[in-house]
Amino acid sequence: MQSENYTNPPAEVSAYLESEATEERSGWRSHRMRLIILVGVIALAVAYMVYAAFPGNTQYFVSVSEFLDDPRLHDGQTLRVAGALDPESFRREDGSASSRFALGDKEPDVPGLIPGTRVMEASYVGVLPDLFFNPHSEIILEGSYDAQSGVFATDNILVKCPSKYQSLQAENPDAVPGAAGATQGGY
Amino acid sequence: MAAIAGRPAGKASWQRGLRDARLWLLLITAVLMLVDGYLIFMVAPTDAVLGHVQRIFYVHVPISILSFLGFLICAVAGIGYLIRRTERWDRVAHASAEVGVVFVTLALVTGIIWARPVWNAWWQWEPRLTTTLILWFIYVAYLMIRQYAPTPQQGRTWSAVVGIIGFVDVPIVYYSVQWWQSIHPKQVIGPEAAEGALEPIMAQILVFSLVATLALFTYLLLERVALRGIEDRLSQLRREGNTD
Amino acid sequence: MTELPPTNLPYLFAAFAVVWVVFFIYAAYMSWRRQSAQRELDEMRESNGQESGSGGNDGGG
Repeated sequence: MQSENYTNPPAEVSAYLESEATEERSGWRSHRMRLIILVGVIALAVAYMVYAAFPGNTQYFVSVSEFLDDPRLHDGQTLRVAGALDPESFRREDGSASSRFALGDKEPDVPGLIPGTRVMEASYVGVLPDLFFNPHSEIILEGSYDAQSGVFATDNILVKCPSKYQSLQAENPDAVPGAAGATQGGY
Repeated sequence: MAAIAGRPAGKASWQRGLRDARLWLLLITAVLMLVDGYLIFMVAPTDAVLGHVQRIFYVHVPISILSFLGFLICAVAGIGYLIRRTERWDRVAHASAEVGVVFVTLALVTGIIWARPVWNAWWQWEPRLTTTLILWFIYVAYLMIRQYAPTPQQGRTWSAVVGIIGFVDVPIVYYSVQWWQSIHPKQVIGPEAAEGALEPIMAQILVFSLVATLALFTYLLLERVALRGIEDRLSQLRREGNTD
Repeated sequence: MTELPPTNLPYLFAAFAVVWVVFFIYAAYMSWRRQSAQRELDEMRESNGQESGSGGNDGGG
């Protein structure tokens, strides 16, 4: 259908092609082709990203108690469970990278786990994140639950921090002065 | 030709004045940035949870906000271009899109560097990061459409449309942390911030950083508009040379 | 128990280095392009100077 335009171009098309020549741009078909490919690639990339970021509009992760309500439902399935570390539960075999710990529900912006909350047993092999033991951290475990052993096998650990920044002094005025460095400012 | 000959006599001095203004702005920006660096590294307190790496905050947040401003200017100037059809509007739209892309790129890069020690991952496919990456794609497409459009005229029109529609993503990026629960922190300053989300001294230094980065943004934008102006005149002269 | 914050200085310096290098390169590149375009513009106007007399005046520098 386009080739007909070439053999018998309407007035506006030929005027357009002439304006083309003065603009020092040749091969407009390749320009148009590149533009179509460009738009196509971007549309596909955006579609994929939206798909990846909002999987079926489900939540980004489930809480420990949501998970514990029916762990069997999640048997073998890869998922994310968020909560706080129970610091008493942490065990590591000497000289090994494998660790065992328990995760419980966490209230946003309140350090530590909710007192008396149920906990989920988890295992992990590897280097722990810097902020893993910080009570402010919300720990997100990526992995799968094994119903047989009752342990959540963690592949990956993410750390979510509160949307709040403050200095050590403001957080805990009783803290040893100067412990966090001399750049605390004189204000 | 008639347009060049008929230029008002004040034009040359006006341009010289603008060039001087850019030089002064560069000087002011440099001073503000030095003071900002001092505030960030010497005055700002170390964050109790994240440690020194939290100082990235003072560049990451202003750079992100100013990328929004760049795309806002791009959308407004795009509307201006579609109505008036004059080069001047297109120049501003083009320049602000390019500066905006530089800023949003740096917002992504500083975020990626900050995420590694804190989240324990460089990147997450979560709403804030994904919508920001989409924003990057939209305005990179804006710049590429100008390159690949069949005629410069069409490039200007199509890119203006992309710049206007693409701006829809900016409020989505901004509110993404409110709308979807995720790993990225929520706003700590501005109307959406929670009470006490930021220690007062940190908020003051952030505002100073924002002013310093705004000066830099304005300098880069003016410089980019001036460059487009000279290049336009050059290509106009070339065309006239060819037709003679 | 107070958990002391981690240090992580390499990430901090990497972020600031990237920001400053990118801003500097972008500004320097624009300034370089503007100067070379201005030079070319001035040369063109000089060679066209005879025919469009007043046109050469607003070159400036």
